[in-house]
Amino acid sequence: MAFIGRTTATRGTLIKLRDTLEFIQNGQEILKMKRDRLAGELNSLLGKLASREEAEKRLMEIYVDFKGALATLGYGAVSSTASSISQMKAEVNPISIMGVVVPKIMVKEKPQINSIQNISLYEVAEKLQMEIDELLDVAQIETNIERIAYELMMINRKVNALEKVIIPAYLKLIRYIEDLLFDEDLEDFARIKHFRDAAGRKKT
Amino acid sequence: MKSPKIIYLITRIHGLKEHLLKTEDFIRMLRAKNMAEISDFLFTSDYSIELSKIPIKELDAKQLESIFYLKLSERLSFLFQITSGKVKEVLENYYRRIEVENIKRMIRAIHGKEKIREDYLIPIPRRYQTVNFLALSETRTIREMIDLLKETPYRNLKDRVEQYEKYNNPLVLEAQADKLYYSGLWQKLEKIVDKNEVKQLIGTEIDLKNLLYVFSFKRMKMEPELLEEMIVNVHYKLSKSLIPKLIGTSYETIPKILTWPPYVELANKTIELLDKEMLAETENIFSQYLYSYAETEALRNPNNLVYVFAYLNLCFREARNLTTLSVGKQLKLDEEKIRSSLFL
Repeated sequence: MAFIGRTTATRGTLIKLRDTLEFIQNGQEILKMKRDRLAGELNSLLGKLASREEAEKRLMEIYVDFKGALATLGYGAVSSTASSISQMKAEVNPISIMGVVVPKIMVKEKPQINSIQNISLYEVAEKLQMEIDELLDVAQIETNIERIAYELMMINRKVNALEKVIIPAYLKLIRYIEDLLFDEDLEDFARIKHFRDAAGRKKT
Repeated sequence: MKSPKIIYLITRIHGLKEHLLKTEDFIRMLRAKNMAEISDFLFTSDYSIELSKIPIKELDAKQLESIFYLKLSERLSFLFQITSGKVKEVLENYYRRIEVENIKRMIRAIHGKEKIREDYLIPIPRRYQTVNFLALSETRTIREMIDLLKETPYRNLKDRVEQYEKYNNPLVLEAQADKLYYSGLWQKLEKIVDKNEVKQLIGTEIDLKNLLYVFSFKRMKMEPELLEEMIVNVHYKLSKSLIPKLIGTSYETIPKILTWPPYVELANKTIELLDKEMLAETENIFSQYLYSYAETEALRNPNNLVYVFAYLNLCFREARNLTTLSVGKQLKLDEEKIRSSLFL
């Protein structure tokens, strides 16, 4: 109970503690709801992550083609051709999923590959260009999963702390104050009864 | 009767050709377990001096490639020392293909706003350069670069700057560089002995280049206007009137338009490979055709000036084969795959 601090056992304190407990319990409910919502989101993202395997397979096929083109043309010609290709332009915007900030990547401009003269290199570049959206999606999903998983871990800790430590402590304190107040009430009742009886005896 | 200088040149080339690696050498290197074994083999060849300058542990395919192209450049420029007159002029013009390749690489780098790295360029001895590559490498825009070329044989590149800006594609300028190179070389050929045989070889090379452009650009679905820009305006068996027909048709019907039987056969093979998605092989058959043709010409005309040009083609073939072998071994490609990319 150390985290609650020293407190005076009064009716006012009891009312205040009951209000706080109600607030904490509401908070705990909201956190549980957020946890469920994020878990649902995580589940749906995990389903989408299956596309990564396919994307990796396609990338490996492209890589094999690229190695063939590289062996035929050599490093000089390939790096020179690559130097003529414009860079991809993308915008990364933060969006919020239940308060978790995740990046949203938007491709503004894809690399211009029309300056490639060599047909095998062009096909490799074309295939890679088609894979860009898929790769960005996978990257985005992975980042989202990472951030949501971290947030879930934090929420779990909070819920556990509320459930196992804070709420029981409050309940214990409230019960303690209630007991004290009940004892005081009983004492007062007994004293009043004693005085009333004494006053009755005097009259007779 | 040929002049003694020409006879001397051809005789020297017969000797120099013996320095080139043979098919069996390439096959031995193909069977090498790794790149180190290739470099070991090359220590017994013309490449030994350059190879010995690099510690074995630091050797990689990229460095080997620059050694191969340095040797190629030396082999080509060496001929200037053993020749004179009009043949020397032609050989100097021929040698410019390396300079043209470097200019194209610079155009690409400037277009892509990349810093021009030394390893992008094929080494050319300073005395044989007609452009100042150091100054060119410091330019930031294509216009700046073209401005620096106005006192050189590539001054006419400026005619295509507007088209380049219109398409925003460096291929337009690259094509213009090729056109300037081949038309200059073609004109020079008029003045030498054995010009018909030499023209046959160079003309075939240009035709194959144009034919490959047509196939590749059609496959890439590029704009017909751009394809028209790319075609080298020197025509040999692929006549000028055929070009618009080739541009206007689908690549499957190209063999029906072509008239020269070897090209029809080549076009049929190309379609077969394109349909099988064997793209690297598609390009290779054009080079293979040229190198085989050069070899045949060399055998058929051992005392003709075409022998010199056939030798030069074979020098290019050697550099390309060695590059394929070293890169292939470094990337651990299987033997069959490397073999399919070699010109044997």
